Amino acid sequence: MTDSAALETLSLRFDAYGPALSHWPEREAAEARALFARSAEARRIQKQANLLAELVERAAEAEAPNGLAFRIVGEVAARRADRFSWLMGSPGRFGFAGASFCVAALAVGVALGAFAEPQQTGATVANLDLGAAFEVSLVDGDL
Amino acid sequence: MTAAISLISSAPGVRRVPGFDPARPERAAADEDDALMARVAEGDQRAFARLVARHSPRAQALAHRFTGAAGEAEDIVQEAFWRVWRSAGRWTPGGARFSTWLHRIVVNLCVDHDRRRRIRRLLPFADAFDPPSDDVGPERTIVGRGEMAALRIDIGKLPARQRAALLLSADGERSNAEIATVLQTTEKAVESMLVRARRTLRGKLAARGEM
Repeated sequence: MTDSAALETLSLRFDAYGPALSHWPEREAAEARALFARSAEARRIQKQANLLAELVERAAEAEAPNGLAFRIVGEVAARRADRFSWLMGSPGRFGFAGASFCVAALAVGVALGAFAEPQQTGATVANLDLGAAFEVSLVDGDL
Repeated sequence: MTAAISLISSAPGVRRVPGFDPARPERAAADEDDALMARVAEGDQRAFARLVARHSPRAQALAHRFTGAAGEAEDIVQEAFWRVWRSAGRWTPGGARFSTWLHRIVVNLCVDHDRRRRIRRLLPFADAFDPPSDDVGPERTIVGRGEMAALRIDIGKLPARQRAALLLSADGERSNAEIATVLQTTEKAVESMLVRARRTLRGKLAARGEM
């Protein structure tokens, strides 16, 4: 590998693994050390990677606001209490919903019964001409 | 650049990170977290408070730098700990570390928050919905906190997943494998995100003459 290709690879490895060679696979770390020994440009790349890592580390810092843990524990306790009271209220809530559904179903049933046209009454059944069927049954009986 | 990234990712031994065993120094802390989670699963509020005290500052910092606003970050962290409380019964000790799990919840909430904010920006009167960021604006950057404020703005403009990967790697304590676990992706994908994020930032810093 030419030095320029090796330097390009070194730069990519710094970006992929970070600046600490202890985090690198052993073989790549050894290659990097050998490159640092003979190339000023490699040492410049390492310096640049360290600087970027340091800047990113500082940029990623954020102080936790005062009372953070207290507020989180309080919020979780409040949510637990809300959930508990909701569950405790469920029988009443669902009981009311169930009773409402029964009343509504009954009202619909009564309305249908009162206003719907009857499909078949006892009179229509009585007026049916069953003569042909009767004859067929007699023939079947003879057979 | 994609070819170059694949050159790195396909290098033999890239999955191993010799000499880096983040679990060892933090094993005791992880065991304590497991014990606290077992108590939280039984409804122990003091154990929960202790977990919050141990982990909320770091979760808050992550969410703050992701969203750019302390208030929104606190809402996200509260929601994350509410989910921890509700899911404590399903926690299996000895598996993933608690901090990894918590940061996964925080990052997912941050990404959802980012998505909703981008959708809201398409609406008329978007400013009425979006609380102002507490980071300084570009016009105050020059006379204000200088390069740090500008860099935070640059980080805030990165795509959500790249931003999350960069912020998770910022303190240098997590390996790329751990970041991949938090982001629910592969180590190779994390390397690609970090390469893109760091290259973007380096380009912007160079353009401002800060690098």
